[in-house]
Amino acid sequence: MTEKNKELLRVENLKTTFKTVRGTVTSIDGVSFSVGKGEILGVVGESGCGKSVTSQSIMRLYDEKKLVTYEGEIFFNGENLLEYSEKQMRTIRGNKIAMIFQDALSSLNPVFTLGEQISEALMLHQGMKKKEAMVKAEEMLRLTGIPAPEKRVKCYPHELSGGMRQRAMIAMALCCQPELLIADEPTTALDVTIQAQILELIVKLNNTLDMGIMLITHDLGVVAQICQRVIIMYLGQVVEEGKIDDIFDNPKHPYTMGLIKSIPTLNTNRKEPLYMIKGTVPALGQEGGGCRFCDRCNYATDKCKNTPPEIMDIGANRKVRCHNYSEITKL
Amino acid sequence: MVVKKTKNPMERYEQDKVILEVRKLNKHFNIDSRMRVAAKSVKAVNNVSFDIKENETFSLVGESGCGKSTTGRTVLRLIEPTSGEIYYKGKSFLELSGKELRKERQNLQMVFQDPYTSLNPKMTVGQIIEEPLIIHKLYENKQERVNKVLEMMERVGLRKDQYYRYPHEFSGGQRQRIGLAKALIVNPKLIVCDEPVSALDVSIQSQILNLLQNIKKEMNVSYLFISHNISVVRYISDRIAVMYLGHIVEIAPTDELFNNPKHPYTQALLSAVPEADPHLKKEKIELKGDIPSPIDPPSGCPFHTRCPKARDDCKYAEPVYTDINEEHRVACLLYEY
Repeated sequence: MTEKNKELLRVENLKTTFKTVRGTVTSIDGVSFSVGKGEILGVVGESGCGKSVTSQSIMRLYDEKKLVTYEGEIFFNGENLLEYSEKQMRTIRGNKIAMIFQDALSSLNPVFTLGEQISEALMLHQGMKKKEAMVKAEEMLRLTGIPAPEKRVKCYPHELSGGMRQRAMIAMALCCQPELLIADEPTTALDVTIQAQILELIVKLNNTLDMGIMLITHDLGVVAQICQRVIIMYLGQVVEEGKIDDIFDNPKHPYTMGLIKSIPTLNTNRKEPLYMIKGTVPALGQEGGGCRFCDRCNYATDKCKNTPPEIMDIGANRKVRCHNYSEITKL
Repeated sequence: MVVKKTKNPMERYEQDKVILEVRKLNKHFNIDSRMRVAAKSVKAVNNVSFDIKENETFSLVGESGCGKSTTGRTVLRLIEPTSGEIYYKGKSFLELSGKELRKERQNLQMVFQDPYTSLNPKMTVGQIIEEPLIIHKLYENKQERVNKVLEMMERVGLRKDQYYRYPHEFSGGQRQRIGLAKALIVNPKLIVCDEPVSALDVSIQSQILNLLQNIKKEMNVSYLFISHNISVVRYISDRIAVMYLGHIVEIAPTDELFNNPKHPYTQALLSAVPEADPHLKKEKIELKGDIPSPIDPPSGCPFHTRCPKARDDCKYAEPVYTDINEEHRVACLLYEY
């Protein structure tokens, strides 16, 4: 194994259960995947499929005393994060694993300047003095391509545009040189031309800093343009995993096929109706005993209704969770 | 200019089937009106002209803050324009008031972006869809109205037994169907769809887009479709106007716009769309910087601050429309002779 492909994060059978007033809800159920060093992994799925819960579980951001129980293993550089104490976790968060969120305005603190917010992490994790940290903060802002960073360090978040705020978030996430960056819908709130700038920045930083990136998104276009591998999630489970070219050229799971076919692209025939996946995503806890997708699948058999499929390794670094994947070639 | 000077709006309606004609529409929002001096204003819509034909989907596309929603709302007079002319079926829509305006509004309906906040949470689905019929006094007795509501619910893909349900019991896609039923029940001729699929998941988005297409065919309506999603706009539109900072910078039939974009902004916008095809690594035209504030827009061409092809004169001269061909116009100095 070369240095480039070395495993950075490996999630094994992760199951996150929330306590609610109406009983417990298993938000993600048996999720396994890995991210290599310097790799960009795409995590794709519709709302409620558990992509954000997965990322926040890796960071252990939920209230473990009252709200949530984790099962499974999360190996980061060979160590199981779920066995870490809260104190140990704090040396990981924002330092070894950093995270950027969709809505930069509500994720930044409105009463501190950008410089103060970025230097906070540097002072905490790297033991820098305030002055030194401020210089570094300015340098980080410059790295992300914000114009006039010497002025911007003294700005408050509301003084910046959406694209600049997202750049500031990225600067903050990267200031401690994390080994893994979790980007949760980083460009969803941005306009297309600004999105193109931010994606370019993420790819550039991935190349220069050699960090692993887990990119969570619902936009297959973004995934196709910058990721190397992708996992597709549906209702708390990974339904398909593979290299980006394989997934787009030759999807195996009927959900992946439907998802790819139902988005209009710049080459879609406008005269024909779009492909539709029938029905809607069922609520968590309402899925039947069998395959979670079977109500919406055109190929569901009796077996699908009764036995939940396991995720299967089908060679060439591909995995799929479907009983009939070898028979379904086209929708 | 779209508007040929030789024809008046009535002739354009009767001969060219133009049901909505918008001429030189302006909407400026004054800020600091407490000071009694309109010191500054947000120039949301500037000199926007376009027309929509019968059974046509006309789209406004652009980034946030470009004035596309304001244009849509001004057309329905949900916001009163600062200046300009709007003709519905050849008659001036801006001169109407009171009862006449209300009567005409029956023909012009709207579907909103956010299906969660645009439905009254205290009304049942049946009541929500029935309300326009009561307001416009379309049926005399209750039973006729209920029958019409049930028919419409079925038409948009809702089940009859959902009549007594409340909006919170529905998913986003289903709520968007309710909003559409509410707009369609009065048999409008034009529906302004303001980002109708932006809040929906991918698999639901295609269901609603197909529904919109079928309804257009069957009920002979026109859409003014507002969206920032270029792939969606390409799929659904007959003609497209690209907006930037309150101006329409380019207007053309869909295929023409995508095959032969002329304005540097259109070209950059199309190149920035991430394609769901990993083999397609297209040449991206990267735009520098952010969209300028509409309070203090740049002089000359509004796009010159970010334009990769800007020349010196772009800073001073405001571009006028150049006809590329009969239906394709662009506002850019590069094409002026």
